[in-house]
Amino acid sequence: MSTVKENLSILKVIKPLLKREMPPPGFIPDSILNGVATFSSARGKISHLSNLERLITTLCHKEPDHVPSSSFVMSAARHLVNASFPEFALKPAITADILYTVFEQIGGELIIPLIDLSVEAADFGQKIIYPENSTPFPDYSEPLIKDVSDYRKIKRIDFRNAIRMQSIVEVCRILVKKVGLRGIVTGWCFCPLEILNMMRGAKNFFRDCINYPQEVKAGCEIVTDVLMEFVDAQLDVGVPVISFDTLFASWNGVRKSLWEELEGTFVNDLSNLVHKRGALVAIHNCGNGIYFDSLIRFMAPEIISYAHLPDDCSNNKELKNRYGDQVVLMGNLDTAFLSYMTPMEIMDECKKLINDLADGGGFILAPGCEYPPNLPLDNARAIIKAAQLHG
Amino acid sequence: MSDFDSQEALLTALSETILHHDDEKMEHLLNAVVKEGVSPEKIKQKLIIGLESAKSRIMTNHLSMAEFLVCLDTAIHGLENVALSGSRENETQKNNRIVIGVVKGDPHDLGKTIIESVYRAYGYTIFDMGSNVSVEKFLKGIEQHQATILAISAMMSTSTVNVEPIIHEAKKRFPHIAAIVGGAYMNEKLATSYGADAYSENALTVIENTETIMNNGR
Repeated sequence: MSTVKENLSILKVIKPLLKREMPPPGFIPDSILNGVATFSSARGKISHLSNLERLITTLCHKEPDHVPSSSFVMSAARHLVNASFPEFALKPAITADILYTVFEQIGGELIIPLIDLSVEAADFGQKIIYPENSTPFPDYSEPLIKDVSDYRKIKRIDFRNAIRMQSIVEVCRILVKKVGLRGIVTGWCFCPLEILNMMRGAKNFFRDCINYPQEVKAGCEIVTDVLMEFVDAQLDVGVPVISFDTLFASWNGVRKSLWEELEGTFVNDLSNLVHKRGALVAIHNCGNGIYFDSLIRFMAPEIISYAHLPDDCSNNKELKNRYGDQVVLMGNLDTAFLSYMTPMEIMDECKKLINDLADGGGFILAPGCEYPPNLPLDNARAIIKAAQLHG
Repeated sequence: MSDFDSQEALLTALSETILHHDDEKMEHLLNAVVKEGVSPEKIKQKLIIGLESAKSRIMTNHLSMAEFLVCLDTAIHGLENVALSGSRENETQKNNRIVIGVVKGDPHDLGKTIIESVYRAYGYTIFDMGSNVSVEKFLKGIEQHQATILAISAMMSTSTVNVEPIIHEAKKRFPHIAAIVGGAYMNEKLATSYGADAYSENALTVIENTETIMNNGR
């Protein structure tokens, strides 16, 4: 029986490889992955690795030739193809074009389609404002959840008609085909608390989490039901990693025990789905005092992208010692630095991060959050260059 | 006072209602302390101690932002109930009239709301301009309310640059104004480059930062 299962898994690996696409890493036997990583790590000491070799080596917690990196540039690159903010948000062919151009012109090994925070909320019916010169955001004068009783009334939408989520799937599909085996395209999904927050407004939502947790959970259940289809659809088009944004699992959100009660079950379902399909779970959280321990317990992620230190660590070295063997750490260049530092200064900051986090592999250099959308891209290039030079 | 051994114990329990964000118990205890003849100043002092306790807990990661927000709600509720907030405007508070708002192009008003609540809880007089506020509206607010402090929040990277023209115009027209700024993409160096007198990282430091500006004679 196990041989049949193994053969099926091998088929799931071979089929994407024949199309020159990255197979689900979870279906690649550990012995092969570790063998590739060990060999690449050794080869990396004398020659350059390919992007994929570098990522696999890193994911297996071995040292590559240099650390992989992501500039986390999203809409900031819209000028490269003369697109506007609304086009970046709403037209999947243009979005994919922008992200692919970033991959080609700026570099990095990961391609992450973080479009904006309003994608899922928009499909649930939240009115969104699409400014010409800024990122889309919910119209908080007309929240979809007006009253605490509205959580249970959220409509369980038909995913086939979820225009914006479908457009993310399309972006993933285009990128997976174009990037092939030259890098890894991750999917993206906001977790239910953040989506409800977009439909309620933060002030009231925070209060509801504390005063009406059962109502909030009822909302989470409806939203998660649709998110399962969203994640499934992204996996269907071949992304080998899904990134989940879990902002509320930090002191910027709700208390750890409350987060576990409100969102724990739901993120567990989402990450189980990803793992069951052989893909990897990445977490992105740009809050202060992230609950690494809870996130690892509920989601068993392979990667955590962070902006600030977790609640149980006081510096990056401590973080590396405590969690470095459990997850690949991705981050955590201060995005504010990108606004005013020169490329040389950015490279120095990156070097500090590499010194603290790169030993033994398992580190991806990146800003703690999205590259600020209205900045020039010089500092994005500096991040990638720093990885190549100092990593 | 039957449930408490002393007036001090009663006041301590009142103070603790903030940490437990228990509005109902606070109202009950406020009635009790008023009956006891405790001075409004002493009540205020105890409420501030409760707020300080919440503040120190969030600083040591023992309280989340959501909980801090509801603690602030309870503190404001208590201060309003004893008619302490704003109604006893003395000379110092007159000098601390604050116009607060979120920059143009930015709808995120949670940070601003928390800061506003902290200011109110500490007895400052606040004039809220809301979110997505234009330069002109900020200027009109300063003039109309004779503000001495301008508090600006910018939570998006795309809106952070909009802080600079507000400070520039405000200082040109009202040289006495002191500007304090904060937001997700802000830091001290950026704030200084925009002409701000102070940067506040969060709600926990804003009172100290504001007092520093005032003490520096701004």
